[in-house]
Amino acid sequence: MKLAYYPGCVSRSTGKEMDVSTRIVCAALGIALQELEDWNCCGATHVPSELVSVGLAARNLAQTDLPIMTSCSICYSNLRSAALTMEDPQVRAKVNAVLTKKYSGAQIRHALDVILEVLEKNDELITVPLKDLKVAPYYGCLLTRPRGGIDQPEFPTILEKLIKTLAAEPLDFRLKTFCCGGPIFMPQEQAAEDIAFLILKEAKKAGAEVIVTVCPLCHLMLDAKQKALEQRYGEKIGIPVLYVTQLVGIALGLNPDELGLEMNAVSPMPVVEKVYEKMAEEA
Amino acid sequence: MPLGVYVCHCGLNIAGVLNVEELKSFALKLPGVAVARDLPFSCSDIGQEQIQKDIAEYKLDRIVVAACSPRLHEPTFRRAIAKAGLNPYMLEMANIREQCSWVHMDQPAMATQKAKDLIRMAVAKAALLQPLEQESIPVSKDVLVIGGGVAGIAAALDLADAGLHVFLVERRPTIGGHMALLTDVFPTNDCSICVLGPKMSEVFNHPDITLITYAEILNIEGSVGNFQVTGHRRARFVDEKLCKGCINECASVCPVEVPNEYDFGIGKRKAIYIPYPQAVPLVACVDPKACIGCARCVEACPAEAVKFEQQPQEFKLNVGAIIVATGWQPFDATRKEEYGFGRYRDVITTLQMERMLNASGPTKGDVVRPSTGEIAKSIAILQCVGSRDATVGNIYCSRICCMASLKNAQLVKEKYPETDVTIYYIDIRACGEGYEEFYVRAQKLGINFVRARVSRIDRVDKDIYLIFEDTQTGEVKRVKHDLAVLSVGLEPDQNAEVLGNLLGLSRRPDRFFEIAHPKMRPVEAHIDGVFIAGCASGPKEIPISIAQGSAAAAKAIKLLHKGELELEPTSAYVDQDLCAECKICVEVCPKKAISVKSPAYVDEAACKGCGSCAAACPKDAINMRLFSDEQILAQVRAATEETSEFPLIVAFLCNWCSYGAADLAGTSRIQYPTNARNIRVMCSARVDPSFVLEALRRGADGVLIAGCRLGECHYRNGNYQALQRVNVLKGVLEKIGLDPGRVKIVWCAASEGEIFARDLKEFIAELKAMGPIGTELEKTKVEAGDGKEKTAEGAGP
Amino acid sequence: MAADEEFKQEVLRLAGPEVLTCIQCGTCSASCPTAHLMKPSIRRLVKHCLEGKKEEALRNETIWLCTSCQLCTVRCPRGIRPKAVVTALKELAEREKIKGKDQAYEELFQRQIKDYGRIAEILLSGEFMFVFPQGALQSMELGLEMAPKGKIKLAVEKIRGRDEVRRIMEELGKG
Ligand SMILES: Cc1cc2nc3c(=O)[nH]c(=O)nc-3n(C[C@H](O)[C@H](O)[C@H](O)COP(=O)(O)OP(=O)(O)OC[C@H]3O[C@@H](n4cnc5c(N)ncnc54)[C@H](O)[C@@H]3O)c2cc1C
Ligand code: SF4
Ligand code: SF4
Repeated sequence: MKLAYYPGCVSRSTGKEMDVSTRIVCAALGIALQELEDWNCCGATHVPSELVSVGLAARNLAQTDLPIMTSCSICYSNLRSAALTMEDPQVRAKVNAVLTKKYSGAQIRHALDVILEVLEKNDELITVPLKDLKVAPYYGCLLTRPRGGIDQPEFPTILEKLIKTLAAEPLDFRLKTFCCGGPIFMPQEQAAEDIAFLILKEAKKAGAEVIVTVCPLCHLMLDAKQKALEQRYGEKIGIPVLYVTQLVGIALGLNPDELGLEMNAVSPMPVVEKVYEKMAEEA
Repeated sequence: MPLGVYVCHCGLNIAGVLNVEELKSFALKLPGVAVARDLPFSCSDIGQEQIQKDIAEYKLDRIVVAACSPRLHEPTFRRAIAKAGLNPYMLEMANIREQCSWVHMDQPAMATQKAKDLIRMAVAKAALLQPLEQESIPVSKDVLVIGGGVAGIAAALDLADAGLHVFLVERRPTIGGHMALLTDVFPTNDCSICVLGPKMSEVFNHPDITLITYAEILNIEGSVGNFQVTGHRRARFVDEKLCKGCINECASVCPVEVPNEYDFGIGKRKAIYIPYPQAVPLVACVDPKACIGCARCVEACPAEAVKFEQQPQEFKLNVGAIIVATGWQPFDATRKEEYGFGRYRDVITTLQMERMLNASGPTKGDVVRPSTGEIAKSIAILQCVGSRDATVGNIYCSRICCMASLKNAQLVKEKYPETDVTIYYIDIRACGEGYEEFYVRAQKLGINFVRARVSRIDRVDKDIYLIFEDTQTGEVKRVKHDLAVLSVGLEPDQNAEVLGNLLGLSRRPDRFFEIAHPKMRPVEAHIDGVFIAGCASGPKEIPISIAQGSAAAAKAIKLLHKGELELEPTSAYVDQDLCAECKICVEVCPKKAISVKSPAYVDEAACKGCGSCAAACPKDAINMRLFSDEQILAQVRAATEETSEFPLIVAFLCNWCSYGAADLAGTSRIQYPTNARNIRVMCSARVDPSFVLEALRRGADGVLIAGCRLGECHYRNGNYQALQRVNVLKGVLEKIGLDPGRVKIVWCAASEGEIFARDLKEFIAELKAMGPIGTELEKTKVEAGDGKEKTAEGAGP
Repeated sequence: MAADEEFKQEVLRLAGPEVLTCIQCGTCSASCPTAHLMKPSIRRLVKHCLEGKKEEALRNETIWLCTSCQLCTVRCPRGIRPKAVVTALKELAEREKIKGKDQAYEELFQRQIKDYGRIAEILLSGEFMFVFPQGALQSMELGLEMAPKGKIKLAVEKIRGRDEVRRIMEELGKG
């Protein structure tokens, strides 16, 4: 399988481990990624003009004829929204008027469903089954919105499917599609932190050993900020938060530093060790 | 072929504007005209007698009356000439009053010229008239009713009581439909099965009703008066004649338990079952999907009624009319994932609530939390689940759910006064006799009303919480309840599509069956001889479903009681040698009247004469008996024989709306210019592109086509077809160098005389700007000429 | 204040004519993760727009509490995109030079896109701390966490198609 890869801006900073693990996991699964030529920021959630947002996404979409994969939910949602909006020929014409390469339709995929598709057909690649690992599937908001993407917007189940494929146990996680608050972290710190902590507390209550996420902003809120939140709310959480690509990478038996695990704020190493111990026990 | 022309004065209505004397002498000179007269009032007895006298004296075999609109007096003159021994169809009228003298009152000279053209056109058409016979065909007096819900039951009983034989075909093992499953029913809160049960038995015992349950219609052919229907009865694996309906003997030994669909999944039933104690027929039925074949029931049945070897049985019926009463199905609440139905046990639907409240239901009338089995102390009812919701593709209101919830809330409150019942609603729709009073009663009983559409139901531990904005206070709240009841909407039965295709019924955007006219023909389908009753044509409550069942029965009785059907000789017919079997006609026919049985064949009983097929046929293999191609072309040629004014417009007006609008412009004395020469056709879809091209070739400056407003066609979608053809035609004009604006299509209702006049005036202005026909050809010639010179120059050195 | 028809039309143009079909059901309001903090609720905000109440619609905390999670848009039974209404209001607020709480952040964000085509980690940039000192503390907290992990990279990558990106932002930003 050959796909164009759109890393998104966070891949260069706070979301480095997402980018690193995406590349290595795809390589292991035989998915050839070709980084999108001279890509630009998708606008994230901070461009108030809808048309500009569409234009920024369209410039990226117009760079290739291959299906475009991204592992960031925000990018995924933005690229999809743009493609949907440009179904209106008037909008498309307006946007194309300012583009150098013209947009004429695109197929947009999230790493999650690309990986699941390959794994379902090749489960022999799972060399380190994540037996008995209790995983809280955390979708966040944008993966399934707007409607019509890889799964239902209200009660998606694709992450659970992937977790099961890896032989781990997906928890019934009540807040799985609740927004992490990330986009308003700057102006409304208190509100955003309340939300993020609620999610962490709920994951703890559900008995999660790991939280898995598909979005770098969710990751930032739940992982990078976890320690600060623990201090602010006076409650220990201590749950590692993995990108879905990192979780898959572990199951594929990839090396922890290849997956950028050391970059996570809450160290996932105890989890990795547990998985390997379990495997040794069974053998 | 001697022809008589009669120019009417209509007192001064015509003669006050037009020079009738001149018209008469003009007519006399037209080919084939043996006699022409002007008559003060042609429709009076004296006028009619004059015509009849002339027929005898001059041996006339066809008549043209230039007078008022044919929509007014065509029947009068047809009767008059028939009395004199002529075939009534040997008449043509020229409309020189509504569409001439009344609308051109201040331009008598131009109007007289236009009237001459109209008379010339009528004479040209009259020359081609053929005698037509009104045929009558024998019809079956039996009626098929599909669906045994309350609507189908009402129809069947009325028909049978009137002496027509009814075949009532029901898909499920019992008739009764949804009403049989409801608890008490609004607005009177009487027990549903107590009022319906006797009707169900009456159906069963009626000598003129053949009840066919657990059956499916497989095919329907033929048309009004003679439908041939095939279907099959599924195997019940129980002999209907032997079974005593005791149920205890067989079901008690059956080891298999499955969720009971008649309780909407909250109760259980065995693999051998009777849907409910009042089922009709009261006969057991084996569910082949659940049965494990242990045959314990076979042994247990004292009547030896269980027969595992039973096979499906085919049946064939011949009926004159069909009533479709296939009802509705509940919206699938799992589709609203945010409410957790199917995941949270304490979230149920209103139908499950109905079953719980039912004294003979699975909980024996107790309203419990399914998760604990305890009586619910606090109940939330959520309105508009799956209705008024674009996210699930249902923008319509299901109409009965507000009332049903008010009812259920009352029943709960009456049984458990301590229980807290809250209805979450967007608007309470209680429109019907006694309905608002019913709402007031609910309020007085202490039921809470919160104006909110619930955003989400959350479950934390064992409890469910509703999250919503109380829109009257603006507060966003999170409230705990024991039980949440989703007021699910009504959708058309999922298999309705299959049946609809068999019958050729059309469906509205909301997917329910479309009726022939949203106001005027509430129970008729677009297909003759087919009627629709109850929720098959949209959500409605029981009283209206019954009223529609009875109305459909009355329509069927009116249609069939004589045992024969008179056919208007308006139909299409196929020239078998020309037909290429392309089936385009089959697609365009709105009445499903054509089938291609090498070659195409028109069912004349079903055809309503719109003529769309004749316009569409690429081989010109289809023609119409009335309004034939030759007649219309003759009118076009006569209209353009003398181009007496600029711009000259040939206008095709559909009989139902736009011709009516033009007449109304006349009766309202709306004045407009004289440029149009109107040709009446049954439907705008009748206009064959070749008519338009012929008009332009012969010197018309423009062609106007006017139809009913979009969506209001009398044949369903003829005007859309016309629109499509006009669009293609515009392309053709452009290719041959003519301005595509020379063909114009407009829409007006019969009440829109003003709009007809306005559109015509606009068109005249547009044509004036374009110049006489051919101006653009001259121009392009000049331009092309220029171009040639330039290239020559450029290529020179 | 009198109804501002021009304002209403501008919102409809940006967020779509279907906003006119709002039935004030409140589904959107209660879908927000920050609903409990919003005043007015999203539903009221929509109403303000339809009533042409420009001041009420532009000067409030609500539009800055929207996390762009789009749940309102997924659920609205009329197919309205309340999120697009919020986006439109932010754009109009910017045009009116009404300072919102995260305007500094958004402006910086957009400037980076314009100048470089991509975003460096703004949160951690010195420039951000300069224009938005209130946020500095939060950023430092994060920075302390991330610096040793090798995630902080202050040099911004510049893309080649910067002119094109600037064109997109300027031309399409006109509406
Ligand atoms: C929760 C709830 C409560 C209600 N309470 C009330 C109330 O209190 N008062 C009131 O007036 N109304 C009430 N209604 C409305 C009432 O149910 C309907 O008005 C009524 O059922 C309409 O009857 P029907 O015959 O049109 O359709 P149905 O009852 O749906 O009957 C249709 C029948 O056709 C059969 N069928 C379908 N397709 C085929 C096929 N292809 N071939 C053969 N058979 C077929 C079906 O099996 C069924 O038996 C309520 C509705 C709901 C949802
Ligand atoms: S005239 Fe109309 S109804 Fe008759 S066969 Fe043709 S298309 Fe059908
Ligand atoms: S959900 Fe839609 S219809 Fe309901 S209040 Fe919000 S915008 Fe209006």
